[in-house]
Amino acid sequence: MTDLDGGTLDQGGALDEGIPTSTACTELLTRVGEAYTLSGALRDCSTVSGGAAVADSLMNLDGITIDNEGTAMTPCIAVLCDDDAAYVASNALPHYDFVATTPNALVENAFIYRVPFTPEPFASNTTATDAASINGCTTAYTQYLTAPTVATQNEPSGLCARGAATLISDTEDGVTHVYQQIPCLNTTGFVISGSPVFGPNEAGVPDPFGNPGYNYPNDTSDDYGNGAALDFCGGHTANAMHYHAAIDACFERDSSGAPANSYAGATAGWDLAASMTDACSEPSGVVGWSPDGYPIMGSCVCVARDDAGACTEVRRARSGWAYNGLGVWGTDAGEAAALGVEGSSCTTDDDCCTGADCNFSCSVTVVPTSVGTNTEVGRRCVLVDYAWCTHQYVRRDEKLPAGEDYVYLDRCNGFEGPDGYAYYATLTFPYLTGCLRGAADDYVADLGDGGMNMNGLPMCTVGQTMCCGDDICGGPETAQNCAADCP
Amino acid sequence: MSQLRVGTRRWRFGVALAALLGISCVHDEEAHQHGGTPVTLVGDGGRVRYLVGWSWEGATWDPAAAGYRFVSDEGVEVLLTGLWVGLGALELVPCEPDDESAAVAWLRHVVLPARASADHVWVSDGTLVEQPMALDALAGRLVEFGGGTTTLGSQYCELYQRATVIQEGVSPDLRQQSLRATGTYRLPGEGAPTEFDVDVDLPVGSNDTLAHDELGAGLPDVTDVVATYAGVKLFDGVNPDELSERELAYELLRNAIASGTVGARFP
Repeated sequence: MTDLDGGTLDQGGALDEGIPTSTACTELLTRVGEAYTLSGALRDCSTVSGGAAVADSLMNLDGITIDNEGTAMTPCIAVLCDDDAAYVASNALPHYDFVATTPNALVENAFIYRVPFTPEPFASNTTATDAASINGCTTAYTQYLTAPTVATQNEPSGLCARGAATLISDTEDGVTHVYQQIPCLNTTGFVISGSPVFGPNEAGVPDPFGNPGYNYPNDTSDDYGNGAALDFCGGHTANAMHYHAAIDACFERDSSGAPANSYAGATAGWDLAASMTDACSEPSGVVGWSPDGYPIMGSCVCVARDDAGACTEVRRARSGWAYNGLGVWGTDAGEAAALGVEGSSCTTDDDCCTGADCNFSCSVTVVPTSVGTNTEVGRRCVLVDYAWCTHQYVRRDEKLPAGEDYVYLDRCNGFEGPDGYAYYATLTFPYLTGCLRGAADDYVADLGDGGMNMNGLPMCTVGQTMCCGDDICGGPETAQNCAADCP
Repeated sequence: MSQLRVGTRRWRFGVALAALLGISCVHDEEAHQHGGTPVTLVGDGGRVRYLVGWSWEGATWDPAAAGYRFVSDEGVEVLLTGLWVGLGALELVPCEPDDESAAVAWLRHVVLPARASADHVWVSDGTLVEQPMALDALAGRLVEFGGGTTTLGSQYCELYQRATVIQEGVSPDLRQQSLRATGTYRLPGEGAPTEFDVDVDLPVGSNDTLAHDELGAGLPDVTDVVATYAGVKLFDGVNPDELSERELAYELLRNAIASGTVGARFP
């Protein structure tokens, strides 16, 4: 087991709040004060208003041992609360036997997440950058036409945070909504089994800031993609196991809170299009939490409840982001040769292009309909690269389109329904969250030498010559950017 | 949110220096689990040929039943009359330093080629070969996988293997399946054996440490990387009666790929 502060991670033990845990995560909770210096006295979450919602949603991992290529490992998760927030400790292991979809090994990583009980959505008059004015994707367009296999130095869109998160806004029907960017790389939340959630893009390689979902087979008759493939629950390994997506069945829990399905059982009958369009029979449960305090739910949304509280209408969540292609970001004469195929209907990858230089996949995605502001699900030739730049968020005329059985989500992949606001898992961009509706000021913990900032790079202190957080993939800070990042 | 990474960023100068010089990659513990002497394959632009096959050491061929008989580590008696596995991809994995500080990571990033697990995802350096094929495990042949590859400068310590679904029309043995297995099993204390014919359509992967292949050199000017899967480990840790057919097939697939040992035969 991974060495944690010189000690050994043990198995067994339980907290009193009803979520059985291993002692490893219980002991990790003793470090909450170090991770979050403003945390208060910790106690059983059932005694704190708002605490049970978080604690009761977590997966019961008691007794679960997973196989990591012949080595037994024990995932753990534990939670305690202060007056304002839940603190969830995890060793970031999946709750099922490790599926190596890339050569990256599965290792334990210690995380402590903070979930505030009272989300604080941004006021509409909060100073923010109009999302419509952000045009960093023109850089991606130029780079792709110049050198398609070489990524821009950073994620170029400007829609996710490369360093400190900034606020962006949309104005719809005269109402301005303000959101906080999620980091382009690294943790944006966590799933209920404890591994971190990442945003909807990969790093600069192998597909430049590519879409993690476009390597999925469309169904069992399709090939698995060649890039940074996810397992069929939505996760894969890098420095830590993390999830870019969440398949509902993988995170369903039984009455004890334990996983309801095995990996093989949860992923049977893989069919992306059906999963996006099949009618929902009941609302999904919680699959994760965002650092702004809102839950991340599965893909079935309760959109209406009766006076008795019963859900009277359930719809499938559909992202407000549709595939719009990289080509919309420029008018270069060479575009037709480089990007001409994008968005065209297809059956297999070979319909889009072939060979080692092919950067397109025939994938099930959401695309705008030719008329109106609605969307449809279909197989299209999609550029795997530059996930943020190939999708476009459009405010739909109707959040609940008449005659349809889906509900459109907002820019952040959220919906304000009878149960309040929540994010919902989708099988298309942005998969889990595209931004944060509420403030997440405590996102970055002050851990000093051992800590990590939201971009996964060492945190800086004044006077250091390395560190900071510019999300340059593949290496820590440089002298060039450090001065700007470190005051 | 925060991530505690205590204990993972200690400065270890010796390891760091070795990493910078490209002479690290001794995975004694893991390699010894597979019974071989770990080796580093120096990527100098040479040719590499991937060979894959099955070992039935510890099993007995039953000609009357036309299958292999063996007993799992938990006492399950197995007669295996058919086993087909879809192998989709092989890729040499560059060596990883055992531990490193941020400073070492930065220096390595600047000085050395991208390594397997560089930050968010691995960086394929061209040794990836994808040519899905259905391996007939009972055929007993060592077969070449793909058309070989060329190393590009990294120091390699492992082989990544990915089983995948074999598409319709590629093989008569697997059709939109990554594994199909047939035969019988009998749990300890049970009377009559239970027949099984199971399949699954999920991919799995595995890394295995490169070890020196005792059989010696293969072709001149070509390094053979030989992945050998152990048939007798197929049912290890598996209680078939507790699993659905799909789950059983998935566990067999996981065991099959994880049983691989990887030998390097240098010219």
